Amino acid sequence: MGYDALPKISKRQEMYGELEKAICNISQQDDEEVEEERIAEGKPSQKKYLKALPIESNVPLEKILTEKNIEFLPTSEKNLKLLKLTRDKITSYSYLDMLDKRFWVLYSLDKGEEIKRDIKKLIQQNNSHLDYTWFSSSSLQKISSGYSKTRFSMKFFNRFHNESIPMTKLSIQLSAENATDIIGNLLDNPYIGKGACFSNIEVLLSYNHRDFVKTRLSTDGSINISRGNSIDHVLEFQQQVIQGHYKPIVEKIEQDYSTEYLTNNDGIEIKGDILSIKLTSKLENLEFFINSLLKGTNPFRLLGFPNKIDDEHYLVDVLDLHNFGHFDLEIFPDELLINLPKGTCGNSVVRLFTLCQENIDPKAKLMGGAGNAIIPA
Amino acid sequence: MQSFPPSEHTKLMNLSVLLGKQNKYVTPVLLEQGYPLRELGLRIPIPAYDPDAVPPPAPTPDAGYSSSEKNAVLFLEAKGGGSDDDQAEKFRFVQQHPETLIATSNKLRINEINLILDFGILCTDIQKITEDHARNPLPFPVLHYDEAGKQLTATNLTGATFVNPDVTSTFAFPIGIPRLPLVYIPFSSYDYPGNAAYFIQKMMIMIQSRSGKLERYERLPPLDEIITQEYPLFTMLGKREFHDLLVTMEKILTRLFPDDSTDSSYNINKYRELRKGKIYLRRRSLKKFFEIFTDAARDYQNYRGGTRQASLFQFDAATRPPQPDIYAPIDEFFDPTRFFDHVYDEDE
Repeated sequence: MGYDALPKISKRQEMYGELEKAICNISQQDDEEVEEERIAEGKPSQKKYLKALPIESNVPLEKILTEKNIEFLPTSEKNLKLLKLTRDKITSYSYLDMLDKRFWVLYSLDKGEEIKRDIKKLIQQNNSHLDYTWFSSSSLQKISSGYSKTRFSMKFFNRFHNESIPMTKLSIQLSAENATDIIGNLLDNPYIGKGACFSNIEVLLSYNHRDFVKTRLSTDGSINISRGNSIDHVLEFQQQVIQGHYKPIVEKIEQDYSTEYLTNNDGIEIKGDILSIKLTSKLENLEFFINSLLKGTNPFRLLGFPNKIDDEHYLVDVLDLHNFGHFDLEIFPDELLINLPKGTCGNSVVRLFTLCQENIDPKAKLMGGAGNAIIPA
Repeated sequence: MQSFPPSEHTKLMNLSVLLGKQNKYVTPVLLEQGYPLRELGLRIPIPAYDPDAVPPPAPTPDAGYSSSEKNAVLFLEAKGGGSDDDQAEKFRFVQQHPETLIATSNKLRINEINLILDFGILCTDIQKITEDHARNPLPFPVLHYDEAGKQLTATNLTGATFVNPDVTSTFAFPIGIPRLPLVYIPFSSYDYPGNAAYFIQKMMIMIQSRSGKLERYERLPPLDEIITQEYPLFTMLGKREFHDLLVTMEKILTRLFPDDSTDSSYNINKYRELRKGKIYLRRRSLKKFFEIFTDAARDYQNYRGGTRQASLFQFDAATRPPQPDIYAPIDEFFDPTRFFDHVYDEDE
């Protein structure tokens, strides 16, 4: 029984069936203690996960340019495709679920490194109109708050030398039967707490004694399923994460926190609001920060023209290389203000905010210009 | 890092917005009093002011607030430095003939019966306004934004008071402004020509942005269409300034991506090409292109600053007679881009 890769399917129901088989198979093959030992020794994980990788798309699939080794094959359902990947003459299949036209989900049993590398090629080419979903540390905490947490990782890189955070780098990975209290203690710790930025959290979804799923949600929105026996719980959790949490945030940004200048011969009417990324401490070297921000490379993927008003005040014209949207950014040592034009992708803002938590201040907050918190940090 | 600071007028435009719009930086005193911001630069045609003029004169106060409930309107005019005596007279005319607002009643959500109409001046340079007032008495109250003192106060400079007691009470006490964001209105018409490079950079972003949004074989629309669609706030500029910017932009693009045609506008599609369905900038990476554009905008700004008194409006008309721009004909004759010392093609 079981298999190493997902087979070809033609219908959604078949897909669910195969995914459930994959989850059950992973659980049977799994020896958690051996795996823990490998990780403790610093060896790469041998464990096979079922992965659900969300992709934010601004265009239909037909318009996406792919590499030679990537092919999208049709199924009998319009919003379900097979992703055929060829690596070193070995072919594997993954399932691309496009039921939500904007937030696709790719299910794969391929090795994490390999599938993520291929997806990265798709997403990170200029003007791909594709992006990851970006779950900030605060979002990960909020989503996992109702569950028993079995493993988590914290990763913080003080890229811009924020002096109020007493560390250059922080990297913690911890697993426990229930890590909720440990997380609480770390967040309250006067030293670690300042750089405590979650990069993934594993939770146990258990609805009764028989059905359970162990799943890990990461910053890029990927959900790794390591144990379990029910696809329904995975789908439910994924629905809660994307449609219940992430999508409303992006849509709220686009609808309520974008600016529209309605112009006519009689004058200009302003609608909407600006956004603010509020830092809890001050950035010392704004020029260095802005130069890094506008490099046009990972992780920010922004280009633009900075304009210095004074040493602690900059106005920046920004071009987002993910879909060539543009916005105005105003930067103070303790705050970034974003004027997002109507029609520009709200995912750009969530990316900027998530990266600010990862690289500047894990306690940063994303707020509306009128003061309403959107994502409480 | 380059610095093209916005004009005082831009700061006051942002302040005007924040006084009538919910925000956490400036107490929105007018909004809280029931006077939300309705329109910026509202055009008020007043044919009766000069019946012979075609089109009729139409003053455009910078910010308009109104209360439908009280049937009252407040217009604030931002004075960043320059003086326009004629405009004050037109505002005075509108105040004396509130029926002229009928044409704009939809925007302001008011009716002309028993309308309470107020004008006020918002300034940063109190000295300048004092001199203006000494030369030609201003009939409106003046509000002073003290950037260093971080507050907005009503002054007794002109002796005039607001007609509407609501507005008087709104500005009865100083309003603290610990931080004034500029991102609501990133530029105003007064930034031109002193800040021409700042506009050119924005235009470059708009071209890039639109270029990336096109379908595979879709061609770029004309430059003016791109700019006004991508960034409608550009309509805030006067037609002459906007045209001047477009011409400059075309010259920069011609320099970077030569176009044989001398009879028509620059073919903007020359700067891009399609390969495998993707848009590329001719012969250059996007990052290189941005660097080149940054240099081009700065060179242009330096050129203007060096040859033209770009900020004539800052000179006091009372002490110095208006002077003709003696370099204007030279500007028209010479291509400004010829003065760039960069040879961009060597950047490859």
